[in-house]
Amino acid sequence: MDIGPLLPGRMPNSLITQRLQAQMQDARFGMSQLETELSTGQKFQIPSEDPIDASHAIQLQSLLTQNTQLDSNVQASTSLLNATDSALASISGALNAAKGLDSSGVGNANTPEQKVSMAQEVQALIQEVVNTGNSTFGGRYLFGGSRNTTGPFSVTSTGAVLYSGDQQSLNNLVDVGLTQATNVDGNTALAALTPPVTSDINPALTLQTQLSALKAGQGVATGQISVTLSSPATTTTIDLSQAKTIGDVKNIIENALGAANVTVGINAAKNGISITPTAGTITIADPPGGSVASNLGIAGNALASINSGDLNPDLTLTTKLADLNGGAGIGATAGNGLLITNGSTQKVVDISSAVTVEDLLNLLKSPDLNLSVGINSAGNGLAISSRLSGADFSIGENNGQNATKLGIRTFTGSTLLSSLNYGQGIPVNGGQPLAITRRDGTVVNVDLSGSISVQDVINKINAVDPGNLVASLNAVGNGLSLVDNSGAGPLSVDTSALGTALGLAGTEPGNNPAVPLVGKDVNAQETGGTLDILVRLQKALETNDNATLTRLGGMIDDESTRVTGVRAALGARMQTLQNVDASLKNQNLQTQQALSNSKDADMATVLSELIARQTAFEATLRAAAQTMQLSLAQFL
Amino acid sequence: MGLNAALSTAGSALDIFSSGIQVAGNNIANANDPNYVRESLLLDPSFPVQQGGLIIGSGVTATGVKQQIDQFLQTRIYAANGDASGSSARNSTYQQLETSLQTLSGADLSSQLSQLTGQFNNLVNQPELGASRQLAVQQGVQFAQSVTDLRSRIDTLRTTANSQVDSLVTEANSLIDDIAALNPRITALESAGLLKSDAGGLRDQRYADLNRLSQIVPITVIDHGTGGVDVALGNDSLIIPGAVHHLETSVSGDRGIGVENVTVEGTNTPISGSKGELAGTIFGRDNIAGGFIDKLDQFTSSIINQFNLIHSSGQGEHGYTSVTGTYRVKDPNAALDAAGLAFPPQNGSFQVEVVNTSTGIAQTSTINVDLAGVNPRTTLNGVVSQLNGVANLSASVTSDGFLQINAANGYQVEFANDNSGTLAALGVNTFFTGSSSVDIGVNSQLTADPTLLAAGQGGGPGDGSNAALLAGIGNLSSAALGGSTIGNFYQQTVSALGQASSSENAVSQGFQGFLDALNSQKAQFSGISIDNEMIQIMQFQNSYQTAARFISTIDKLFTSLLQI
Repeated sequence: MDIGPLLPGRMPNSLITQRLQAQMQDARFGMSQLETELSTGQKFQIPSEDPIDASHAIQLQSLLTQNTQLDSNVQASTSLLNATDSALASISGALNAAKGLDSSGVGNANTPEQKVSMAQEVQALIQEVVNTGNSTFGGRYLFGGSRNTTGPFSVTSTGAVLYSGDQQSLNNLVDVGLTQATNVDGNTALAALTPPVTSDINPALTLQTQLSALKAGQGVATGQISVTLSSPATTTTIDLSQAKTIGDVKNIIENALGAANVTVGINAAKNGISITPTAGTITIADPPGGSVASNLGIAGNALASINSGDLNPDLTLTTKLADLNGGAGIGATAGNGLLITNGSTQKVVDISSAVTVEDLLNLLKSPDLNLSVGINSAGNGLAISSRLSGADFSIGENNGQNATKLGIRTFTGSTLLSSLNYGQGIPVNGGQPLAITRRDGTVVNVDLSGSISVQDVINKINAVDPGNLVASLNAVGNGLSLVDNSGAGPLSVDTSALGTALGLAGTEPGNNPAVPLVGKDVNAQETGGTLDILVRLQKALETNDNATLTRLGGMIDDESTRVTGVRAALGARMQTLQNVDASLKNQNLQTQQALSNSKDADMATVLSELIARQTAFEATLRAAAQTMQLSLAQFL
Repeated sequence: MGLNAALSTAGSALDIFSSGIQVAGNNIANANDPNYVRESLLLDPSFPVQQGGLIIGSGVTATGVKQQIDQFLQTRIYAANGDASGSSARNSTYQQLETSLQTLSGADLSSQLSQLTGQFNNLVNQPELGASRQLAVQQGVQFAQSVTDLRSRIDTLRTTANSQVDSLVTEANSLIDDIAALNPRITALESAGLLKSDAGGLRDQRYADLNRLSQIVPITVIDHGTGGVDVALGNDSLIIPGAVHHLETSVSGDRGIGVENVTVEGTNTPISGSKGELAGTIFGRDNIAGGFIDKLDQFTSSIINQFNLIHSSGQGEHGYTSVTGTYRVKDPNAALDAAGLAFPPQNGSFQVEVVNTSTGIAQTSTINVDLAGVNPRTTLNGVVSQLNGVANLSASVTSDGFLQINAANGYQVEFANDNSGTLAALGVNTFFTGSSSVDIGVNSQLTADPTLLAAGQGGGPGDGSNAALLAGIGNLSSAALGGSTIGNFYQQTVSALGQASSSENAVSQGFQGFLDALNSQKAQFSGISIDNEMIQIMQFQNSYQTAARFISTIDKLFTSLLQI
């Protein structure tokens, strides 16, 4: 009961009693509330007791929970990255040791026998690095990418090292809006894969192409377009927001305008769409604020036909091989295929059964090939790498054009001469010409100086006697071939540094002018990583291969620098984690303070208020006891 | 005037003074009854008589016993009763609802959501650990459980409100009967009286009945001066001479429980509005608790849908050998966006990957779901026939309308890149089942085999990229939540509830304060003061003694006269 003001007039006993009761109840209630505040330490128990502070508290509490979780994410990341860093440190150590062995191995300071025992030391180093590559922490193989439940590195029977992990970054959330990888994959740490063989193979646009795959994967946002036909004269606003594929766009536009009035299809270049009215002209524009028509390249004014131009669709797993190269396909596959060499394995992969990109990749995933296959990061071509360190890898033709048209031939006309022979290049500018002894016995000296690419070399040879002395890429495998119809003698290329470097040095002893002198593949791919170096170093020491030992010396330096770079990047990540951790702790403190301000009871205030109320309550009780005793009856 | 006349005057005075003492005594006897209305004896001088040239008073007559009540104040109390008890009923619903939510306690839904996303964050930290998936699934089960628990607590609250409605209606009806029965008795008793308030006890009882009835429903009382009162509720009469209309209840379904609807007999006018305990309880049940259920369902269905949309495009550690959808279509030949699914899909496509378990080689096929408004639109049977076109896969619609997909021996099926929401709509490769706070659960295929939890997007066991998306679920804004994020939506709902509860509390206190002030005025006017009554008694006692002395004087005069 509210203790309201008294009106002048009577004071019935019932009113006095009611008021006393209300006063006592009020005082008791107030004290109970204060006692609850004291015992829980909170200003309020349910939000309605203080809605403003409660809504702050709810938000702050959830912020606090979020920060606690982020902090736990940071701790998880930190421990994983710490373990990764110490593993990487041991790789640097192994590279240093290898550098020492390589320096001692070059030249004749040590005997071949001594080099063989040095090779055994390298063997131990290989095992050490493989073990490091298979380090685990908290149940995770640190360097396996996302395949981190089994050891990613293993030594094959031929001595090469196989990396069976992938290249995935395992990201976690370390701060609001900041994700960071908690791992370093095996390829990043040890360069365990060869650089991917890839090139743009220009998939054609089809009705199945997803709009999200257009414009090199950027996609096209959908919305409304405004279409005006001159015959029949209409302006229609078409909503494309439901469209997900080019086929949807076609259906929606044709449905809106009438299939009899307009035809939507793939353009002649098979890289975009064309919109053609049956009669008259068509105008397509964006409604105010829209950009769908211009993004799709179909905005145009009073045209007989609108062509979107190149929409550059991405390659996907379901892209048909026949749609590659602007719809030209990859050439005949029956009887052809790919000649793949990877270490000791050489295999013709028959791709005649493959219809889609995925089918092809599945064929290449065959375990004996040891390849890592996928779509390149630009989304416009395949990316094929070898998983073997210490082995040579190449993809060549098998009498067809398949490898070239798939963009995965390792030796083509556009291959740079400087990249051949493990990057040691071709000495075209060394002053020596290429000496070819033709079948008629004449020797022609071809000056190759100034050549940049393989095609330049081919062109220069072909310019000697056009149509008769013909250089070309090998029909099978990789390398250069020469045919000469000048006579019936043997065809040979001298064994000079230039001829050897080009892989052409040698003789075709027969007398059939149609039989080519087939050169060797001089563009074998290698991973160039720590394990690759160590395996090659071991072999070079065993075989006393000074040239390779010299080459490896440079590679070890490069690899050391690269690993240092990886560790630096890792250090930067750990630095980020430390900063985030510090800022989280700071933020936590502030949040807790704010939460305490809005939620916690102020004990001093509560206690003094409780005492004040207690005094008031005692006074009320005393007054009540006395008031209740007062009665006229007492005095009669 | 003769001595006899004087003696008779004195005699009547004695009678009346003893009546006065009786009235005061009755007042004292009822002093502790809060409904009792103070009575007082009304006295008038008797008609004077003319004796020759003199007009002499002939003593006193009692006009009657009058209840000391302010009728205008009483009308205001009836009105204030309706306001105060209506608001108090709403306030009490708010408080009970807030208590059910356990906000700020760490056991509330907001904390449960944080724990769920937290567990998914832990999964992202190390997806390769089997326990991570297990814990994430368990946390999902716990989250679903806490949603359904909360829902059943609110349902209980509403059911309790329902039985309260029931008992209020019963009470109101018996009060209506009581008042209707008291009316003729008061009329009969007072027919001889003059003051229209002589039947004090009966009137007290009726005042008490009316007071209680006005707390339950906002009544208007019309006193038509004959001792009876009419009672109306809005435009409907509850009591008029010769007719009584009770309140009636009927049951209808609302948000999963049966609710009592109250109407006035005869006109079937529903009880609604803000006044009265009954309307307040109904409002609390349907709008406050019911409204919260709507918000809870909105929140729950958004979580289910968003979670499933993300989950259905990801992959677990391995694929399914067989998977059955959890959402039923009414007609497998109806377009999928019109087949009665809780979360209808839109135009787009999804991919199925059939994996050879011995080689690990996957074969991807795109299943088109054509719903762009251009006929023919894809039906469930259309999806089934596309799936049946995929090598080593067979699909069917079960007799009760679920999609079932089986992989051939030695194969498993995985799902990816669903931009149509079809998988989430059909409940294939989904995390949550159900569509509201009543039926939310975790897909039994995941609880049976947590390795199916789709933490990755095509990578190895360490791929947690899909789980990272799931962990961010609280920050996803949803059109179904008016553009607010899932995490904020619930906080906003709870804050808004606290705000509304707090204002209702203030309103309620205001109404109660006003009512108390009126009641205090009534008590001041109609209540019993024992001191006053004692003074009255003493006064009547003195008067009685004086009148007795007067009689004794007359007696002496008679004696003197007779001795002559």
